[in-house]
Amino acid sequence: MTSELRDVTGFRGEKILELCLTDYQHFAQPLFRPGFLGDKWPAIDFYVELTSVRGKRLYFFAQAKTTSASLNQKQGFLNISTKKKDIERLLQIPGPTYVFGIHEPSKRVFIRSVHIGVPVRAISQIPLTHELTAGNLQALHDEVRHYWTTTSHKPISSRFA
Amino acid sequence: MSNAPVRNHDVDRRGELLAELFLQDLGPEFLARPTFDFGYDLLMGFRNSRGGLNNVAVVVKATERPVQARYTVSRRDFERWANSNIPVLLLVVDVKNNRLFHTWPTPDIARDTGGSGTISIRLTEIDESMKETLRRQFVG
Repeated sequence: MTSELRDVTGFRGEKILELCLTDYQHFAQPLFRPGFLGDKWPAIDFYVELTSVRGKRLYFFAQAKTTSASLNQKQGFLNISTKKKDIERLLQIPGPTYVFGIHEPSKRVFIRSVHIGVPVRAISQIPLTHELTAGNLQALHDEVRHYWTTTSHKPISSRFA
Repeated sequence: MSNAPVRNHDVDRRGELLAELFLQDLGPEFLARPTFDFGYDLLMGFRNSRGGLNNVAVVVKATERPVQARYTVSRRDFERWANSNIPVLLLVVDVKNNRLFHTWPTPDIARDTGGSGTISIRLTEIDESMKETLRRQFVG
């Protein structure tokens, strides 16, 4: 393949997640705008902005974990593989952070929050009730929006003002 | 400040992603994006039964409006697609409803819409059965 062409066959899980976060079949416009940070950035794959908050660009961070293992409806969980180190890093980052489990064969996406109180160990399961449906997209939007009302939007001073 | 350019970017991006995932599902030998604009959005190749590659150029048009049975393109674009020596697949993506439509632009499918420099072409929606038909077409 020549250098004028770029292979686009990989990273299906990340594409599925981006499509899911920007899905707006049930909304007037997408609720989120994800920006992919690249493969080299530790623990985080996406910086995700909320689109519908006037005058503010609120955000959360996302780690994407793709699996093709069969979905066990009886078990009620999607099995994913994360590292303890990544959960540790997500807990160190100020702001809302989430792990997204992407079931590649069905293109379904599931979400689990990494917030204060979550044990510092690898996350291996996401409940199937946490599927990123339209209802849960709205709930995620509201949760992140609410979080940012509890903290300062900006520093109030700087040495470099 | 208008957010139209950002919105257009979002629509285009969803169109790209939906098209790429759909085309990957068809199992191409390669799927590649030109790094500069020479008229096609994607190039792909399928291994055929004779050991060769069937190459196809893909043009993706993203819209958030419901797609009608007929779609209007510029005459200039249509002439280029219909008269190139590589088959061109036109994919029209309804990014709001996650629906894909397609056609193979060839001189016989066009309906002239008059002097406006545009051409109207008929589209077919891609469902599971059409996906299978396309897969067979690509490797034939």
